Amino acid sequence: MKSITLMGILALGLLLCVSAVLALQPQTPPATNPVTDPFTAVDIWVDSGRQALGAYQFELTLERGKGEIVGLEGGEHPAFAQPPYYDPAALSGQRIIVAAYQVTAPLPTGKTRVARVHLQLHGDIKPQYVVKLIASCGAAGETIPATAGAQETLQGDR
Amino acid sequence: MTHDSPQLPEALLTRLRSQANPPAQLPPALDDAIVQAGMATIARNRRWRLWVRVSVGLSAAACLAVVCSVWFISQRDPGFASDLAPSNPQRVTIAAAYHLARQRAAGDTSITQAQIDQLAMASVRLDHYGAGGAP
Repeated sequence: MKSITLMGILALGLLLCVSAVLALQPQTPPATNPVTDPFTAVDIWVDSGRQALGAYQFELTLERGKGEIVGLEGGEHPAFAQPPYYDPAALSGQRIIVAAYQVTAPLPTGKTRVARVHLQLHGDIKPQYVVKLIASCGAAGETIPATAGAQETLQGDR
Repeated sequence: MTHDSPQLPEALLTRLRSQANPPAQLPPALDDAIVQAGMATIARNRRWRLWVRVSVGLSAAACLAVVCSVWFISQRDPGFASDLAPSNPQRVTIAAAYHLARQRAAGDTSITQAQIDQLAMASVRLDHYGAGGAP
């Protein structure tokens, strides 16, 4: 009985030590080369249909592949041409939340590019971007139905 | 005065003797078989208990290791915990800032652009957990 208990305690201790060592190991950074790794840009579009788009908020995540968000710029329509709001902490990460609003007309309708996200990619895995639309508002501030998506536009040498 | 002992049949006497004094030892073959079966049962029970204890111990250790790993990783990477957490439906969205901006554009001078910017920035924070919550 005592030997079984001792064996169990030893196994528990061993597992704890292994998990602690694994968790405390320095994270191996991806094999990156800031000089040669390619840059790319992802256009984010929002389609509000016939209704004017007064404000939007979305979350972009690099679901597959490795890369870093290195910059952000506004969209094509004058209403959203200025750089949108974003968390600077998202730079050098793979997830970013972006938002913007416009109170002066004219506001865009239909499918319009609202932002462009610049990334530097690492590795050979083809990246996959996921856009989740968090909020979309009409000219009067009301919530309007809309869809959003991402399209990679500028692909560097891979 | 004397009493004569009643005479019992011999067969009944033998039966009574056998009940009162059961044979002290079983036949050797039967005795060995019982001992072997008993030993086998004891060994089987020991093995079963050992496996149960080892399985329970390893399962508990594995669960504890997972919990410890998540805790260690969350300590080193604060974003890890927020990635695991479900999306907060109370997150401030740009709609709130947009509402204030529209009021300000309509002439409400009590609202400053700094307040609107602060609210808009709160809506895009990666580690934000609601309107009043600290990151």
